[in-house]
Amino acid sequence: MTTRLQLRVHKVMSGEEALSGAVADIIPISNEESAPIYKGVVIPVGHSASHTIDVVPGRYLVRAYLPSGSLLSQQVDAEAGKTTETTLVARVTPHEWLGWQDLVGQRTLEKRQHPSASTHPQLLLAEPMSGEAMWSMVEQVTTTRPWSIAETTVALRDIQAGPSPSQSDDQTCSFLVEAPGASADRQRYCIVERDGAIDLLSLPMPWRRLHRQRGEEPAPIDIAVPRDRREPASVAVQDAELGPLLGFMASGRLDAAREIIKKGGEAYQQVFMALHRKLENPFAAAAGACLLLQLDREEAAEWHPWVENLAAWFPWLPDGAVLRGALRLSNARSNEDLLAARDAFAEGWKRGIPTLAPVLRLLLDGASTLVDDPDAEAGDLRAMLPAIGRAAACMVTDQPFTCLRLGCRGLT
Amino acid sequence: MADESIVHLAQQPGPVTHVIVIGVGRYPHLLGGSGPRLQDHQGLGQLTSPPESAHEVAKWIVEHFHNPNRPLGSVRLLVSEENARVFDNPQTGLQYPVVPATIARIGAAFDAWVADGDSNPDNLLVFYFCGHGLANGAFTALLAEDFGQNPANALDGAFDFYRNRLGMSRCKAKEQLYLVDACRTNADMTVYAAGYSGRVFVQPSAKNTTILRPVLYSTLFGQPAHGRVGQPSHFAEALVTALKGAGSDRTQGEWRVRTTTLHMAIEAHLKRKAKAGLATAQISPADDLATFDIHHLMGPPHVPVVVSCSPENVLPSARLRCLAGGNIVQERPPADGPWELALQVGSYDFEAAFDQYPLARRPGEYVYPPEHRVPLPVEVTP
Repeated sequence: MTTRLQLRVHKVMSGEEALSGAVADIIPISNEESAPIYKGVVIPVGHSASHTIDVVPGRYLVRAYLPSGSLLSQQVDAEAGKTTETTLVARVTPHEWLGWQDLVGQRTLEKRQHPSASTHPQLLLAEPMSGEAMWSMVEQVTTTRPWSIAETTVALRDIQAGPSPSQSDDQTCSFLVEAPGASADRQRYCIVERDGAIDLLSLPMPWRRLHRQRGEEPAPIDIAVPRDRREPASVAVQDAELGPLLGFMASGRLDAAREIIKKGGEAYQQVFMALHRKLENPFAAAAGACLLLQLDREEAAEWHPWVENLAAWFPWLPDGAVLRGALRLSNARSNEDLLAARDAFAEGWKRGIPTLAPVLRLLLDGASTLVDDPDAEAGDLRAMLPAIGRAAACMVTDQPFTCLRLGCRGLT
Repeated sequence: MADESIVHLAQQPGPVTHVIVIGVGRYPHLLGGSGPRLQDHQGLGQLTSPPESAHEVAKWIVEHFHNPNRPLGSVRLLVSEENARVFDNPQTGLQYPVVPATIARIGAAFDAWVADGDSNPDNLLVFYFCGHGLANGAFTALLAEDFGQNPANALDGAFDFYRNRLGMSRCKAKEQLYLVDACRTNADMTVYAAGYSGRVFVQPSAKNTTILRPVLYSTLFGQPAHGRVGQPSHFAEALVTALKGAGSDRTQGEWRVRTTTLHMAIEAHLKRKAKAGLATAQISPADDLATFDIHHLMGPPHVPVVVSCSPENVLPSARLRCLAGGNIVQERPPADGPWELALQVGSYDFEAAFDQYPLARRPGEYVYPPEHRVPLPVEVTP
């Protein structure tokens, strides 16, 4: 009979499950010399979902790490011919509604013991007037004085008051934003104002969870706003598959993301599907392409043309064009490739500020790389680079979706 | 010009590891410095921890670094401190004067380090910096000793970490590890210049975009790194502890420190110190954390172990013991706070004995990197 471990990470997150929420190594600690190590086992995080793995009977140390950087470990005896349930318990947040943000790496939650320093955050929702208007606004940002709502909204239109907090306590407010029935046909932003500190957040809205069997369904977007204006607001999507992957990607833990989307595995199929089904969720497609770009270095991979399509079919989305440029640059063999990369980055710039923070970083890397390369003839990019640099200087670097802190320096 | 920052050089055939270590504590143009003070000092002053950190890291690497696939080829050391020291090479017994970490000397050493990296694409490059850092989003300026010497261009005494790392795609060495042990506080570099983050020694190029170049930072953007007066920083201590073994695993068949396990151990160490109240919460974020080998251990590692009681308030009356095969390995008399010890990988029993409560035990605890925590459950009767 088969010996199995049934593994899960328990975390209270208002009923949400993160199917690719943890990556574990299962290390034999009894018959060490003969038993294999099971590396990169993906374990669900939540209240019930689990993953079962066949193992050689013996004693094991299960060591799992989460997008937030938490490391969990537990010893378990895998009895011959039986399935042994193993539950690792993740950090408990003060409220259930903070659980998801905590899992995907909202770092400021770790500092909640400090007293708050601000009051009620105000939210506005808006759309960009144009990509160039956004860059023009960002280029005006100076960090030596506070920035204002009025200075931000010059590049925005259709400005509306945001929702009231769905949950809050004395340290954090949580806002759930949904767009039922809306089409993914434009960029959307959220402006968070806290006593003169402005955070401009890209909203990947509407976000639709993709299921292999069940089609797709809308997923809420969770905006966590610390009352302390020194801490940035953050956006998380409650997507069981892609949410944790975005967390790993944003925190630079490509090793974990690589384990999760091992070629041929379920999560790889999910990421692959996200890119393939770009019409249903172009933001997820961009996230999938961004992950694949960093983790699947195969030349002429099946998904490469899909990035071209993402860039071509969504002319309002900067991310697709930037990803096309980054892909072309990463596989550059000729001057023609460099010129194509240059043109794609320039096209991405014209569309606006990328929705995904790692894609803004790719735009910065790409433009910085090409402007001094004589073969790239990057005159246009040279003119665009100061605005890209200004945005990159304002960005919060460890979040998946672009968050620009405008005029917030020196706020203490 | 002779490569004056070299403190260790070993002629080795094939690919090797080249290390550059920079520690800046003396800033003549910042608060408490000996030179003309930069008007916009933003509260930045002298540091005592970076020189200790740099010496500690360089010494450990020269003495213990072991990578049979890429043995140690060179170590460069630049340190700015109030009273300059020599570096006693623990391998050769030779003494080297340590050159100050001015921007010109850092530039020269960096160029030489890059040239060494170019000698073989399989070389491993390791970069460590400890000192003041200024961060604006994706950009980090690392401040050399002469930061602020030119008040009209203060950042001429700094180097642009972002662009230099991006430019390292010009270097043939395919694996490069960057360790940035610096404050990346809200002190604002745009006070000095917009769009300029310091000198660039190696310009970005489209030459080779496939190299692996992970970065481990001591702090999140916007957070101060917490050095300790006259001692190595918590990050440097975490780095050395990780290289000694806390950052190893044997998932490749033998005990090795890889970039990813190194990161896990550093993060665990920093959180442990924060929890013990010895540091404020330091997090070690990473960029582009690709996996490759850094260091091979000669045998099973020692692992940091934290023994405590649940509830913790009974610790002052607990006699804590660690046993292996029924024999006491280590014990601690009643004391405040958890008990931190280092144990070789393996299985141990842990106990807490009291006068007033029943014996609390956790038998057969397997200790494995990066750390092991043992909360002993105590039956506290009213």
